[in-house]
Amino acid sequence: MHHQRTRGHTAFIAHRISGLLILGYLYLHLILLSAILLPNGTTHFNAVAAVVERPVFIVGDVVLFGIILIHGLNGIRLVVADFGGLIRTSRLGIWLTMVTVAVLLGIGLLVLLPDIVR
Amino acid sequence: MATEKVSSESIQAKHDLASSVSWSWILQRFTGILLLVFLGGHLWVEHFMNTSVHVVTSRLRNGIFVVLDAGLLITVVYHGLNGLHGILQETWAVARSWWFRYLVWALGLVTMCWGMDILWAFLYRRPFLVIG
Repeated sequence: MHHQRTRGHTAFIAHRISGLLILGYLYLHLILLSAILLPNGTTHFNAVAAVVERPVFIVGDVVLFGIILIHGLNGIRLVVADFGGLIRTSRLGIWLTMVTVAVLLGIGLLVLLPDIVR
Repeated sequence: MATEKVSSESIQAKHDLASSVSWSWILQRFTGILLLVFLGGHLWVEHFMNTSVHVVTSRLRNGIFVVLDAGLLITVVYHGLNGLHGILQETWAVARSWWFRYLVWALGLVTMCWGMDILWAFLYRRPFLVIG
């Protein structure tokens, strides 16, 4: 498939990278939750939970939220483009996606800020 | 001249779209839309209804949250591995072999069983498949 170096191409690359990062996080999530599978699982799970509640991991949560927003909202844009029969990448769609990502990420940061700065 | 070029491009685009429609293409979009609901709900529940580890673990003893998380698990594993399969197929000849899809399905089923065992362990306070 041939892709021109356009906004649509950048969105295409961002969609793939964010998708791969989220898939990697899924496995990390399962590994950490697997503490519950050990004997006396609840004790081990609580120990893991105490570590991931540290501020540095909450910063990681904000980054993860941003990556999920990029993938999810760009995904909405792609589905709308598919079903709307808009083959060509709409400039408005790209801008709308980026603005929505920024706004929702800002809200997420405000929500999680008390857990980062405490 | 210009209009002729645009119309032939759009015909080509329509042809590409029609020939790329498959079950995996449809399911990728379907699971993607489902994930907006499942993952949105998951993040909302874990961050706005979450006060402590104790609350999270006790919530996972409630059947409705287990059903929602099982739904999230199945859709996210399908969507994630189907997406990975597509990327690998475009970049790596081995991934285009007839047997490769079975390898991806095997990985997906193992991942789903792994996640289900975690949910089972939260629900019944011990895993179905004891590994440790």
